[in-house]
Amino acid sequence: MFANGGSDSIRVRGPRAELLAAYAPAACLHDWQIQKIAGTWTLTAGADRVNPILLKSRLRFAAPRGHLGGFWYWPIVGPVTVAGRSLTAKLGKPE
Amino acid sequence: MSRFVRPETVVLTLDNGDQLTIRKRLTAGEQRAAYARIYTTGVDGRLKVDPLESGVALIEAYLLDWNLCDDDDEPVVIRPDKHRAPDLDTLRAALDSLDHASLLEIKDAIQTHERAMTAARDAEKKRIPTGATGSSPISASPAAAAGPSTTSDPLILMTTTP
Repeated sequence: MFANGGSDSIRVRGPRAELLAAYAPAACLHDWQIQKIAGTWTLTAGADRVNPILLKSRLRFAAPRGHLGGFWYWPIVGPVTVAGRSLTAKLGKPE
Repeated sequence: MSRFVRPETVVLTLDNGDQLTIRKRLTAGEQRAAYARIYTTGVDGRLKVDPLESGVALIEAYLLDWNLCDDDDEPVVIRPDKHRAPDLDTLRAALDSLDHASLLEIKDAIQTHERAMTAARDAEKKRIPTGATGSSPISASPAAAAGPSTTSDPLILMTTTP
């Protein structure tokens, strides 16, 4: 996972992540990027194995913490938009 | 009640107060995975149930977490990440380390829950919605079916100003 950005924007990206609905995977993500602009986090990613039923649930974005182990979590606070194999969503503050 | 299963959890409390967090219902995929763990192929090529695996497979299908402790009163962690289901190998190792009576107690608790959920779902299927007339599944067509099928007014495009 890599991060960069200026004083008022942050961009984080990584190769793989997931959207989780409780304990169940709602989508497998790849080449994901989250960007914080003016206090709002936005996720864009490639999406595989999307479960349309679970996408309507309360979701959490889970990104592996690399060598630290475990995951970073962000709650999904806005509707998830899937267009083809791409996905965008608005995230809340990291947990 | 939808035909789809949402990932909801239920907490079961055992006689001594120990608690199990389990899936409320299994999805078809989770049920199939459980079946895959209990069926083996016999010498005649037919599938048969392995009775030694059926109870454990049921527990593995449902169990997400517990608050069981070891002899040092330390929690036995089966799910390092609270947002994910336990790893099956970790779960199996923990289950295999239980005494047999405890394994049976957990299995019985989950079976009781499963039966209750099945009964609730069956009752829901039989329930007639409020206000429904209870017509037969296949209704005869009205004898005099002539004329328009609806009596609504013609569709008129409406606009509103913001």
